[in-house]
Amino acid sequence: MTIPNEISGSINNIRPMSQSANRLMNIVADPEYDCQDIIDVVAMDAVLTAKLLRMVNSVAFGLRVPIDTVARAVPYLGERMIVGVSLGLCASHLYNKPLTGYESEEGALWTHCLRAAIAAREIARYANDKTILDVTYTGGVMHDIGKSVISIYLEGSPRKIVQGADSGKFTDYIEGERQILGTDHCEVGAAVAAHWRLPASLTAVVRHHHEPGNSPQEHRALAYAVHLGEFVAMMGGTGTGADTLMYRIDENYKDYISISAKELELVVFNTGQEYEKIVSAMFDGQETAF
Amino acid sequence: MKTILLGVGDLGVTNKPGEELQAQSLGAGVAVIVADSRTGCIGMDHIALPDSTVSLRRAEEKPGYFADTGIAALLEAMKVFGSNISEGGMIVKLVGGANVMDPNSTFNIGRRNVQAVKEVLWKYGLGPVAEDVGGRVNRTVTVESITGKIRISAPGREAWEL
Repeated sequence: MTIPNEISGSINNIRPMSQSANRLMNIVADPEYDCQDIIDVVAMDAVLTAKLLRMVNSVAFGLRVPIDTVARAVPYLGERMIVGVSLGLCASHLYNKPLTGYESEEGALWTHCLRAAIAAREIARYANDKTILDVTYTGGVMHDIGKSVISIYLEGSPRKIVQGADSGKFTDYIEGERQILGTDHCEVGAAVAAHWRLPASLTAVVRHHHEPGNSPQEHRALAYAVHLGEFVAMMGGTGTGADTLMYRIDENYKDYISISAKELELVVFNTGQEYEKIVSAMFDGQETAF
Repeated sequence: MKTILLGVGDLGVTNKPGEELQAQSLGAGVAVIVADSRTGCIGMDHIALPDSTVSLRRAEEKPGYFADTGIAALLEAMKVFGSNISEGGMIVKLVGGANVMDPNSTFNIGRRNVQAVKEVLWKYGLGPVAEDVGGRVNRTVTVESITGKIRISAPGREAWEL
């Protein structure tokens, strides 16, 4: 597949990620990163710092003493959430716009990616390769970014794709996107990742999260963890509209992730708990997350 | 119409005309709907998982979260409104339980939720008279008080009734 010129033009017009977001992503792409590096990047960015401190001091965290530095916020928010929220903040113009081409509302892309990120991190605990643990969260945050670009080109199409998938004309929503646009949200997302110069591991996740078996071997476990994390998010009802649950699970995940049915129920539960806490903190008294 | 939203693990009961209960974006979760044909009282539980052994603490705080604790709590809540299964007239319907087609069975939580709900209902001598479950559909369900009318919607589809 090649991305049609009109869509390529939209990708080229996306503004670059902030310097802070780029530095954070490159830090967490290294499995042996130092938490202090994250603190240093956030502390240098006044907007990020203000946002994170507002979150940690929200009612959802129930702290008796206000937190006033990024370093003190880390134990409460966790490194993952700090990175995830920072990325969301830096790309809020993409995450928060309504995906009309998927019949979903403003903010749905962000809540879906957030829940998938939490779930992917939980799933990664059962991965044979434990080095993927920290980058799975960032991969989950980024995985569906392509939808923010192609949504406008899919307007008027969701019902046709859903009908096609229900009738067996399309095996899943991806195939519908390809039939209508000649590309899909994975390929377009990978182009956005390249535009932002994301690390290779994250670009691979964005490109292959629906077909993780096609991911380069060195990023395959990561792609499977995000693939399954997205299913956990959708099973919890947090999707991006008409495409929710309309995908195929790659059964070969068992070669990379060893998880039982009971363990998956624990993943679903833990994901739901953490998701509700974060969303409650992020939307505390606000119309939108960012 | 006043809509009472039931989040994940919430259960609600009403017998007031002009009120309705709604559970949004069920995903693999199941809405258990019980209508008392004698009193017009309706109850609904938004169940997330089949089994409370995942978190006994959560089951204590929010019994509606799990099938094995939620249905008992729902029937108990309906007693306050004069609805008692011993007097008959209870109509049960199920909505949700979307399923992921996993040949390894691990991810089929929607199916396991529906099965767990039915097993608990059978212990009370109850069973669903109608259900709209399974498939790759992220349903939102709304139930009207008194009439017990059930509307289901999902993005990308026309709304329908059960």
